[in-house]
Amino acid sequence: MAAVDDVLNGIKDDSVQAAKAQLQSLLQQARTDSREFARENAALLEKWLVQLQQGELSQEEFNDLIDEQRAEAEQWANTQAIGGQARARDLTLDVLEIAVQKIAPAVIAAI
Amino acid sequence: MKRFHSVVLIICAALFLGACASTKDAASRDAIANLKTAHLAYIDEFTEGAGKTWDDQKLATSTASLEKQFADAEQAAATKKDARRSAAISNLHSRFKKHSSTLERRKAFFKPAYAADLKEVLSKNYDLALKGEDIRS
Repeated sequence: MAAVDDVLNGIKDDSVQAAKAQLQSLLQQARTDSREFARENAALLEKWLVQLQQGELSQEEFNDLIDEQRAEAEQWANTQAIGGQARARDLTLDVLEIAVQKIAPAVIAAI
Repeated sequence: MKRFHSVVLIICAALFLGACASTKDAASRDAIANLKTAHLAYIDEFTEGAGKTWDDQKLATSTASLEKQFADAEQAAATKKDARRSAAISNLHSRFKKHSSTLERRKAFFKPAYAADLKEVLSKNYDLALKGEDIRS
């Protein structure tokens, strides 16, 4: 998704470059994952990052939506077989965690 | 003849127990489906709209009503000793607590665009809990 790449490329803060690269890598994997939930999770996160950067969402609203999505991801993991849960978590919960902890503050700072 | 009666009795008992088991599952599913309808309606009720004015009492009444519904569902789930079902309802209840506490703290309606995204994610969360019920049935 070009729009979210523009948002991420707009972050120049050196201290979050590693987190940015990790997020981009996980998003790329999630977009092509066979599981529908992982793909939807990535699409929503990308949409909200763009809305945050454009001022359509406040940081508090962004964090609340991530919190909501995290709960949905936990519910989804609850329906998965135990064996697949670790990988499922990488592509959902870890992506959300990086976005809310590292990326959102940097996006706000770059506006 | 006595043996025939025993077989009939066993079959009837099996059918009765089977019916009880599926009724229990249906009740859990119905409880989650009813919570979904009520929770989404609660978000709608406290989203900005024409002619709406903030009313603390209305929020308190609506919150207490849905809290009661969640408490009943959690209590029913606890009696069935199914950790996944209890976790699913607890997850949904925690969302409701978050939404009601946000409204109480801000004393302001949700913005429509934000509420639409919130409802989209929340609705899917309920659908996953319902899917969990279907898997267990």
